[in-house]
Amino acid sequence: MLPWARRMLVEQRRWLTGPEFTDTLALCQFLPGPNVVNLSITVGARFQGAAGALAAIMGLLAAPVAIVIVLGVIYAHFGQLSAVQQGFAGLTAAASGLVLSMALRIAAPLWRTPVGVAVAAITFTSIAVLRLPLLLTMLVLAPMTILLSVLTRP
Amino acid sequence: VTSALAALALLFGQLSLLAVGGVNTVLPEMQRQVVQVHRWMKPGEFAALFALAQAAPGPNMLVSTLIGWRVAGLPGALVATLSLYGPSSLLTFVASRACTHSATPRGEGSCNTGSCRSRSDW
Repeated sequence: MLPWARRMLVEQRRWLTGPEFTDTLALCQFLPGPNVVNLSITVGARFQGAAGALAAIMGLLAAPVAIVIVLGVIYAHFGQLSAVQQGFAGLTAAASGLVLSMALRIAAPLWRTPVGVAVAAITFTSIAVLRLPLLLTMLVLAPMTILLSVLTRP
Repeated sequence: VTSALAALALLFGQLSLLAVGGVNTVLPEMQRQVVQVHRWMKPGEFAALFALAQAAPGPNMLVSTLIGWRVAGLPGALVATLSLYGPSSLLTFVASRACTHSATPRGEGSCNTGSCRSRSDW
């Protein structure tokens, strides 16, 4: 979705220059929340203030939320049919594969740094194996990893 | 029903502010809370709803809409969606305003250099 947003904002509408887009995206990635949603709020706020931000987020979310609710209603009505259930087994497998491939892509650059591997392993154990709360994991690991990256800085 | 809506608001509001670097960060926590803590559905159903949300167009994490809808109907869907996108959106709006105000009056190149990022540190 982000490359598409860039093409629209920078090349077609020319609302932002290339560097402006990159800087805005950096701010959006630093803040919590979906990047593309944050991007739309920032651009909306920039041109029309609060109303612009609201219009941008409504434009981005209204139709997909309506579509997903309709899909949910359809699933609730026909979810018991074996053909639908088999279809869903396939869809679920595909979605899992998508998440897994993204995780591997993010983890790929880590393999060169032992500290990175250790932190990734601890996080994985905490979240996936021990099933500890995310907030607790973040509160413990965030200061630790910041300290580690400061200490191991070349 | 009200308590279910409050639980949805609390859960997704918290996830919203934890979703640093994108919403996929909070997916495991969402699964843990929905399946293990609140016992709203079985793991298989969570996976099915996630797959359904992925198959639909739009930003990912619309699975929150489906979970809300499954737990408390249409009000649940709206509460879950607003709670997931609201807090982080408000924070982004405030940060982007701070960033624009610190820029030149013309607004040209308002977000360049480190001024923007340092202003959003607080």
